[in-house]
Amino acid sequence: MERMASGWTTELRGRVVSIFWGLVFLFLFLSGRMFYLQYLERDWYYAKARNQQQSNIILHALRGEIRDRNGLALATSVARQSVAVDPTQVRDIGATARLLGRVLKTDPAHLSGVMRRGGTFQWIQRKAPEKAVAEIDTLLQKGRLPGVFFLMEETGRRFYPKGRLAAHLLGATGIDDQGLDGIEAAHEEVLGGTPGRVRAAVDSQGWRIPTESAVVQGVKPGKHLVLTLDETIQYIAERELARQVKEFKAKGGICLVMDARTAEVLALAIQPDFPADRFAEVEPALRRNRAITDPYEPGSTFKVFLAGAALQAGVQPSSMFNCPGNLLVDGWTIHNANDGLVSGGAESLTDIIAYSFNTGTASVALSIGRENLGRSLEAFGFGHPTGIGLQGEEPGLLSDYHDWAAINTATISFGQGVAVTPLQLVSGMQAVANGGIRLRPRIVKQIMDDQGRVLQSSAPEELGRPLTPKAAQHLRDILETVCTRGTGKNARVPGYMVAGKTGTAQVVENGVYSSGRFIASFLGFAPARDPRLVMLVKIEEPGTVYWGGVAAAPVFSRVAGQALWKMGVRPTPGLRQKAENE
Amino acid sequence: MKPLRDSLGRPIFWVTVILSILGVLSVFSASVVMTASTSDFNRDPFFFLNRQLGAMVVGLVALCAVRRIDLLRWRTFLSLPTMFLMLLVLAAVLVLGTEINGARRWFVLGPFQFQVAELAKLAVVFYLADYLARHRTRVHSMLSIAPSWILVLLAALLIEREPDLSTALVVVATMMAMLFAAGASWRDLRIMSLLGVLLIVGMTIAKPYRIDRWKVFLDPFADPLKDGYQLCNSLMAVASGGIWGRGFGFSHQKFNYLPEQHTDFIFAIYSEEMGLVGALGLFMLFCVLGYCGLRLAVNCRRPYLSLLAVGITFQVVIQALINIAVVTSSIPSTGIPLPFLSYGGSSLLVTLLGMGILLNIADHTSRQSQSAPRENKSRRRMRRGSTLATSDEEQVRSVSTGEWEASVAQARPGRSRSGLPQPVVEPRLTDRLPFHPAARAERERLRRNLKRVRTLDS
Repeated sequence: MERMASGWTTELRGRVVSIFWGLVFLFLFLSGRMFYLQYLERDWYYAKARNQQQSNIILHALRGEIRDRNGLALATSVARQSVAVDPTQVRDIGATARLLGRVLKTDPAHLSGVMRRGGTFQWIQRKAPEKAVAEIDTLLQKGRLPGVFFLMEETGRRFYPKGRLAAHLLGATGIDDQGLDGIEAAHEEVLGGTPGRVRAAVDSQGWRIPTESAVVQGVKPGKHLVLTLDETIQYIAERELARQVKEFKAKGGICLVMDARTAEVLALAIQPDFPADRFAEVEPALRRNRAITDPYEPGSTFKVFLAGAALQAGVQPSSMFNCPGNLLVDGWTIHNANDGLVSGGAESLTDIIAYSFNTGTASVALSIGRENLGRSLEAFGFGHPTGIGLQGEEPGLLSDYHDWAAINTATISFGQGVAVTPLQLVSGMQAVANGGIRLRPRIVKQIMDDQGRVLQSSAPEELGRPLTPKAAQHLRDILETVCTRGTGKNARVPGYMVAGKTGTAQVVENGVYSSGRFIASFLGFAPARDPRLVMLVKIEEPGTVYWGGVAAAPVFSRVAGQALWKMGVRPTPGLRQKAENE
Repeated sequence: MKPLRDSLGRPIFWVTVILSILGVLSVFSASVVMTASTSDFNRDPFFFLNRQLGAMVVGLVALCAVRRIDLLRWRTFLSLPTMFLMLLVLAAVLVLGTEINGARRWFVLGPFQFQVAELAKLAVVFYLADYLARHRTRVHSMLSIAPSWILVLLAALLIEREPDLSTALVVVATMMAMLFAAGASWRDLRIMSLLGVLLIVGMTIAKPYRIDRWKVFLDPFADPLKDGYQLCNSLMAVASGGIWGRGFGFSHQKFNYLPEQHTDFIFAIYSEEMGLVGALGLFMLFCVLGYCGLRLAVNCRRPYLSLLAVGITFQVVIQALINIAVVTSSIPSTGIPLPFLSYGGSSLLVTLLGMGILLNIADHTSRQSQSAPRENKSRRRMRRGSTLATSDEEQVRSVSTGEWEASVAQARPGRSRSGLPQPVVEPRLTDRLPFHPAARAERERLRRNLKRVRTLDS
């Protein structure tokens, strides 16, 4: 620079140099700023950046299946996609709405309204049917639906492949596949899966950028629930019950079948029924699982447990009891049912049960006393929920026997002034059939993981012994008599000995017994000597004949016959011949 | 032809090329996601790459062309006539220009748009360099050179009306720098700075959105989703880079988080991908450019070219500084492109033109300082084609400032050894009084001297 000499140039030189240093100073300042941002405070800003750049992507977890005891699926889930739209990307709202409306069978006006709501995201249809998804996909490939896209749902959609089968029992799930009712709700923690989450890089619109991503939480699919239900027996029970309900113009009916040795519920049919996937549309009174939620007055079927209490108290089947046409207790008159059977004044316990004499059972009850009867009924499980593990199970109504007056003891003995659920009846009968040992009723057999490994199996659990083996034996003989020469002849099954008790109860309406509305029922087991299944058939308010022996017993006969055959129980040798002879 | 060893042209050229390539790559990296994700650009990821590459090629051709022209021959045309033309065009664009995003800055010609203010920036530099060089003895009094700054302020005002306040500010800042270099008195500079500050404050208060920008500047994260959105995302992008950066092409903020990612805020994406190292490297490149340009101004003994070099260099570097300061939230937000890096054809073209002029000056200076002893054929041709003097005044001046002595001294072997007598010519009193009879006599004497020396030389 030394060769610069003149005054103006020297001054220019000095000033240009100071401009240069000024610029360098500014660059140094910015370098400091960069150092501050990119080194000292980097983590703070970087955390903020990561926060917006990453998003949780949900991996859907399928809900577990509900299966019958043989592994057939009664409820299953299928992965489903939803259709959504980014309205800002739609070119022609009208045309898009018309196309989508045609494919999804929705009102195009509604769809265009949805798209006009604005924003960058609107649902078109959650969990759209597979066919519609395929059709929209083809349209997308052709570029005819700009802005429309699919989203994989984190849960699947529930399907009930057996249609109406066991619809009351299975219950229902919501839009997010969460259990709302029935088994679905009761075993939510087993069936429900845990969706997985992936922390993934996304752009400002939330779309995934295919770069690095970390699985934060793996998918845990729901576990499968194996029920004790047998699909075949369930089907048979439903078919026969439906036929009977229709034939007798009844309001409804219940058929509950239980394995006598293990207390596993084999079938639970309720009429009227409905398709399982329409659960939400059915009115609550019809979709309730009435076998556990609705206690009713059992009527004569309850005499089984009176007989059990008497035998347990030391009464012999042949012991004679006073059995008049009318019996006066505490100023109340007890009548026998007007079914054409006339008592002979004094009858044995066996005949009282076989011919279902109300006055006779009242005499038995009064002679063994309220304490023997009350304790025995509690031992049979009445007045408490059975603990089967379903939602909404009712305990029934059995008042404390200390408060019973003589008339209470008398009426309870033939099933009035007491309310029990069908499940309680079957559970009590199971104790009779199983040699006096009462087991807890079960509906869940196993829990399996998605690989088919058994995680948990339910085992029989003893609840008590209401009868000694001897008393149980006597009671089975008495109940066998009911079917051979008593009121339950219609329950007989060709080739097998059966045992049971009929019942015809009046419906209680506003605190009084209704004159025209009855409940016909039959509670029994088969084969009589070596019981394998216990069954209750209840026909509610038949429009024609209302006697339990006529309306309910034939269902028992038909269901038990086919179920025993299905279970591979050998017929009693020579019995078929005998039955045909009669 | 002997290679121009002493020339500053070589570093300027290579820095220009490196910055241009860096710019094209950055524009591609920053815009690729945006273009591919919306149908506005036909989902063509190369949309901006192609355009910027085209502008770069055109710009480099223009650079080579400008490098070869005789600046001094164009000097007269490039001063006042161009300035008037530019004012006309600036006025025209206010009326006839195409409105984009509420601003009338562009003339649209088919697929091309041109931002007039970019060219005006260069015209102002040319005009001022000429005027100040011509009137350098009067620069110390602002009033005596009033026409120059009044015209420039008029241009700035027209640019501000577009509205494009930031470009207007760059024009004014460049003018201040050139006035400063040309020797304006400190008193005038102080007054002008004060007026400038008052003007900026007034303009800020006049438009409410400028007040909002101040608020956002003071606390960007007060409203990170609305007003502060761009600045917050810019800061996140810059900071995400860390020391080494995420690597070229690996920016995450460019996934439509940061608006203007390929234009005004491209530095945010650049520093996210290149990190602190890349950012400081970019600063170094701009510093090298600034150094070479200003060094050129110092080396060049022709005041016109000196001032031209100062103006062009300062303009490019100050834009880079302002842009980076905005992106790093060091000053309130204002829209100014980063020279070379930001997408924008007009900006790149004008910047490359400016670099071409710098190279032209560099070639000129090195030729002058080399003054080869043998005047061979090629050298004569070069002299003819290139610049010498356009007026007697200039020629005398170059001699009187010791230019010639210096070049002779340089040609002498062993000149740099200290102790040897240096051919330094002190400024004389007569030099400062040009119309003094003694000065006139001195000039005559020097002119005779020059002839004698030339004969001696050959």
